[in-house]
Amino acid sequence: MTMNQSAAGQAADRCVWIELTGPLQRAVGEDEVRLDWPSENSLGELLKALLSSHPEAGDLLGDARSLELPDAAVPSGLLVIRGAIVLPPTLDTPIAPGDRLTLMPLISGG
Amino acid sequence: MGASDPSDTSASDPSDTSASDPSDTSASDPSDTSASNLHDATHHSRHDLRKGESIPERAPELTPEELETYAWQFDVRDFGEAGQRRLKGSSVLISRVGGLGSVVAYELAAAGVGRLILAHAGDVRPSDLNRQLLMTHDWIGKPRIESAVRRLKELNPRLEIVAAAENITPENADRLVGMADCVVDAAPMFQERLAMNDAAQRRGIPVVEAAMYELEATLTVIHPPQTRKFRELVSDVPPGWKRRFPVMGAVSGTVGCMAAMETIKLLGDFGQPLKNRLVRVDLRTMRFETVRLG
Repeated sequence: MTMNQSAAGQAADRCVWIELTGPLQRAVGEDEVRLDWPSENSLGELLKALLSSHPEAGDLLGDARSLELPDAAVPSGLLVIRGAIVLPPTLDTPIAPGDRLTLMPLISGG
Repeated sequence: MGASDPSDTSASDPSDTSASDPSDTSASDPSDTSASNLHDATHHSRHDLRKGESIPERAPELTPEELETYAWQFDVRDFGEAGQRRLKGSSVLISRVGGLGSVVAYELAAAGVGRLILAHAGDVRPSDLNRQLLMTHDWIGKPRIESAVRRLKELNPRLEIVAAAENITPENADRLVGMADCVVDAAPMFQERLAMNDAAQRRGIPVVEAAMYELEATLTVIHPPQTRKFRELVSDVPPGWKRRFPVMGAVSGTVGCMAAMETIKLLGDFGQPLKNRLVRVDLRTMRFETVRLG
């Protein structure tokens, strides 16, 4: 392993990758985003970080302040997938460095 | 899914109760002047879809014509003539019969489902014709539901159809869902989907949930308590959902066929329906993935 590969590996260990689908992909304009994620934190914090780096996602995710309300939950119709399992719609779900997630707004059309 | 012109907001307004009642025979097959295509809900009574049930007594015998028509389906493992009789004795509500729902309806009509309850408001527009395969150019400006009935009857004249020129609303959902053994949700508006699922849940009826967007599609089966409730996935109309969405007819058709297959499995009591699982499809990359819904 070269020095650069090692550094890249360490950097990867401090990130999360988020695949975006459907209208969320269209709003953000990217299939996948990478966020710095040096230590385990909650799904709510992850959504806030995504909104901070990609405010255009706000149309589908709401604003960051709404995620801080006492009864806040994952926005209606948003599936958060990790390892082919849809996570519970609670914002306190722990997200670890190195996680790969998919944010999939449920769609409705034909 | 919908079916309708993305620019046609009038047909999608769930508060629009002006559409006709299913008892309004004017919405029925235009060629059927006797209005005999309107059937009382008791004509096809619902049968139990629990696995392992024997053929319900009310699953009707097949006629010689049906035995010949469906002979090749009898060879499908775990389906056979018993499954065919189940289909014949079943009623399916499809809302709506546009890009996705039209393909569902066509496949179910071909497979020999006994009765379809179709709900779809509005008239055929040119922009329907890239995907709504039950609509035809010569029917532009005329009711979509009439075009759908006409085309389905051409394929299967034995098919019974309840044609409702209305979209699902909280006001009509119980009445329309109450006629069915199974619901196929192909509606474009979340208000419709929520109303339909609420009504189906009250009656213990499974809902095949199918949707598409651009080149992506999703499919699952909602049937509480065996599965999560739809409202556990969509508690309210999601933020940012827009009536107009990018749509390619081949995507609607792909997921329409898959939704029809899920319906046939539920009615025929075979295979493994997508309960607590959701298939996501990306036809841009031909990626198919099944995820567990918790």
